[in-house]
Amino acid sequence: MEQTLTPEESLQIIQKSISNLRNNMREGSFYYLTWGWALILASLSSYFVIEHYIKIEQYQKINIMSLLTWSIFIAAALVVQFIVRSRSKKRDRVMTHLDRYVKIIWILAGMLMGLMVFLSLKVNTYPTPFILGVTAMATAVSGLMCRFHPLVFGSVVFLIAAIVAIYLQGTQQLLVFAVAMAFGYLIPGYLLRASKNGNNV
Amino acid sequence: MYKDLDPILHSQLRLAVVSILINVEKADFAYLKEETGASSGNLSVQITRLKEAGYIEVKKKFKGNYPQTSCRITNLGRERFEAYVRAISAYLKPK
Repeated sequence: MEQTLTPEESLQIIQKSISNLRNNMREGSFYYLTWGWALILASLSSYFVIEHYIKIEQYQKINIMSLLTWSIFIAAALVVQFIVRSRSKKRDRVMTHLDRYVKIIWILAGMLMGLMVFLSLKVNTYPTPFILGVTAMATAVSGLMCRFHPLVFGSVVFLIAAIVAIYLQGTQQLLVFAVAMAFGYLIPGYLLRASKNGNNV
Repeated sequence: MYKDLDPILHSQLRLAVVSILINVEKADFAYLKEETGASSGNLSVQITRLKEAGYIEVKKKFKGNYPQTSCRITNLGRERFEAYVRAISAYLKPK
């Protein structure tokens, strides 16, 4: 068999192998939806918790309760992500170059967000605009690399939200954050999920 | 005939495996089997040949109770694949 392979046949094998490769970016919808919902619920809960404690004038409880609401939803998203990933049969089967770069970008973005929270608390300011800025960068790069326009649009929303949030008070920033998440994560996430039954993205 | 074509790559299944691996970071055995439509035995033999030639890297690990074989192309494999494509292009060019 090896002796009879012609250059034309070789070329066909190479072409077929390449054309079969599908971008499994659509599986990314799970991450955008999980984190989108978790962060929207976290920011809205935090908003209502802060407003509630301001009303009853228990200011000393505001920070701890706000931190608690964020921690609960972020921990819940991490648990859901862990369970779904460990059950996924497709994971570890193949990793494209794009998968790897997108993964690296989001790991770095997550680390930067942690740093932003730490630095903001150090200088006694709200981290929301800085978190939105980092999210805008990571979403833009993901969207541009995968050529998925709703994500690029989402990153512009994050960028605008970051600028708007700077001029708002703490609790109002949380509402802007929730709206930005809906446009930046949820809408692209649902569009990605809908594309599962359609053409490849 | 076609003496200057790399004999390691000039085989239907090995060429298919390398063509897939050149486009991904890594792929496991089950994925390569599905994409190439080869039998486990044949694929296993060809993967071993590619590994022995230094064209691919093979890592075996256990996921739960199941063994998982992950393959990745090496720099040598990438160079040889490029040379192979150049060689077949030369044949295909109208003279």
